[in-house]
Amino acid sequence: MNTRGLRGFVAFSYLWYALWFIAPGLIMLVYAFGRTTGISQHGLVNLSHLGFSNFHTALANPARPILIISLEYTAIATALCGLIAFPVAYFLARKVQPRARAIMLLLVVLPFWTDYLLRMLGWRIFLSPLGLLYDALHGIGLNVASLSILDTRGAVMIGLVYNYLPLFILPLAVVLERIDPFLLQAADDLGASPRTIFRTVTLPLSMPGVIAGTILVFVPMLGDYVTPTLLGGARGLMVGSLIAAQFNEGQNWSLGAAMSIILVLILVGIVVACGAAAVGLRALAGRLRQRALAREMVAS
Amino acid sequence: MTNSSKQDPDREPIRILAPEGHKFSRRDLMKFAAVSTGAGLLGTHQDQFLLSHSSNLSALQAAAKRSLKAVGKINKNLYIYTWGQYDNPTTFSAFQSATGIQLQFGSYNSNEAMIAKLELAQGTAGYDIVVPTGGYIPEMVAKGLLLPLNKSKIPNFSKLDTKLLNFPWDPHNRYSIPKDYGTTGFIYDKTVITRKMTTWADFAKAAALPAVSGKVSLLDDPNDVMGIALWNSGIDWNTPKSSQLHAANKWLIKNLAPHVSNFDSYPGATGGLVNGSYVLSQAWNGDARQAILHAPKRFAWVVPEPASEIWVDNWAIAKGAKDLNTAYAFIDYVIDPVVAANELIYTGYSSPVSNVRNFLPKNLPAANMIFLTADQSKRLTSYVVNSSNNLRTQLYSEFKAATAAG
Repeated sequence: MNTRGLRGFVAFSYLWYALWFIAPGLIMLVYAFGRTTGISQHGLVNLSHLGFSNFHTALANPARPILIISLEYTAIATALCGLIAFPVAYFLARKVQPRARAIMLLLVVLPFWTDYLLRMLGWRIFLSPLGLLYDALHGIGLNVASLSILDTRGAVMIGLVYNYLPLFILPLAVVLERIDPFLLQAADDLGASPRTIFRTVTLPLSMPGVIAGTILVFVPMLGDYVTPTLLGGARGLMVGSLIAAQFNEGQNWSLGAAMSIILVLILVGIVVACGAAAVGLRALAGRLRQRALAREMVAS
Repeated sequence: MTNSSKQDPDREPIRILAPEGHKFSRRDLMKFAAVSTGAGLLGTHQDQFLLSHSSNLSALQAAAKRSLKAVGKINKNLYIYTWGQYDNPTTFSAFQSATGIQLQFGSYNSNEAMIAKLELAQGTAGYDIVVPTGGYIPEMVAKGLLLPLNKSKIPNFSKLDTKLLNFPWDPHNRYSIPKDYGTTGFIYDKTVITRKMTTWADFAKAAALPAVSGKVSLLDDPNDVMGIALWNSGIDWNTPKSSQLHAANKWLIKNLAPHVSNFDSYPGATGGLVNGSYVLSQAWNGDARQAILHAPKRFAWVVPEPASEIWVDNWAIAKGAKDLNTAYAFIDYVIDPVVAANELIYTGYSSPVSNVRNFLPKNLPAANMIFLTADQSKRLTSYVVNSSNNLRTQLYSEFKAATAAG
């Protein structure tokens, strides 16, 4: 493909994206300022009196506590994903042969080949009081009669971590794998203990992976409504289900649109914050390196 | 019942997320759940019963041919937009083979979703037949989503029970023909709840018991949940008064929110009751019957006092329907007594066809859950969408938020 053809193709992809992503987004933005129509009126949203009332509703009770709970869940589940993903990614990137690594990475992404809904329903069955988990716990002599897992926040957390973990492992493993082995060797040659090497070389250099993983996990998780709906029951309500309910049973598209816009703004804010953190970290690392260099020169 | 297919054991693609046309079906889940929990093949009895008692194919085909004769010239395609798995599959296959009309299906899981789709498409969605719940018909008529019916093309209309015609939501049945009807009540696990249960107050009291709290499900439907409080306090279910609705919601938040573990419109069909996730569930009779068929000694069904719901689902023709004669032939066919019996056996919901009982097997299991007694009928009311609809859904969101916090 020549440059012109390539340019045309790129322009087309942008246009395609603009049409099917940005245009619906703009429609939602406009809807968010409208009002829901009465039951006997035509149309979905009445746009004759625009105003901020939907945003007030979306940020007041009962939507606000749900939004806050969702942020909490997502933050905790993302942190758990990171804590679990790090050793796994480290092992994958550094401790196994390339062929074994390929197989293990395949195993990490394998669940994605099965329908997500089906996997969540599988969890429902597994966690139910007559399911395998209870059988197993009962089998090792635990009293499970009063235990409830399904339809609790704990179940939502299990589902969220399970489901988004691969999205954290993959970018982290890639970044860890790319760390130049000579850096580690150099640190070793200069007498750093493995612990010091991890703390001063591996960990700082893995930060781009941590940040990428955080964004990849946090962003879709905050809007997830399948997991909380299927595993959390009444207790696991998250903002995604609340938004879906406005469009469905609520027939209040303008309120649903306002809630979506708020969610998008929060996510943009978080992505920007992560980006700023990445830039800041890089600057900090650069400054530290310069200072170390200067110190060495003074010493010599 | 506003928000979901009544019976829909099979498909209702998991309510809110509801990717339409998802291949997974609820009945599959039920079996899978039963197998994996060692509870035995839930649904098997029902399936065997279906096989041996469904109306025979030739009788269904003859009915289809009769209906076809009444309408004249027809098209060869019909697009039906209905609740997932809300009809006996043999009803459709017999119609297709007898008439050569190809049936196509789309499914939805709430009246609201269906209305929103028709509204967006403005007659271009391609659907010929839709199945709204009674209380939604005035809204749909006002929005111009339905076509008036020519009943001379539906000769079987005369076989319908007049008690199920001419409802306030559609005087003289200008736009709709009743499909089936049922009630809202509750089902509970007798091995856990041993007290006497007859009223909604009993329901709320039992929900607070330590062994029950956290194992309670409600229908995922704003009006049915609101109904519990209104029925319990003797207030008109259709009240548009903001003060009454707020008070009712307060009662729900105080008495039920701390104990509810899920909003599930199919606690029977999805296996939540059978697998022990719920011991007390608000449910529609046909769905509750699924659990009772599986474990008749374990569960009990209550049509509660002092009041509860009777809902009616209806066949109607969508604006933009391509060929009315085909639609009439289909509607006439499904209210033929032979076909109505075939449907009833499958869904577990009563039919509006007067003499349908003559076509039913004698040994229909848990038949007392299908047919309402005169005493039960007296205390049942219907909800018609009114000006308080937005407030009701807002209050429902508040209730859901309170249960999430509880």
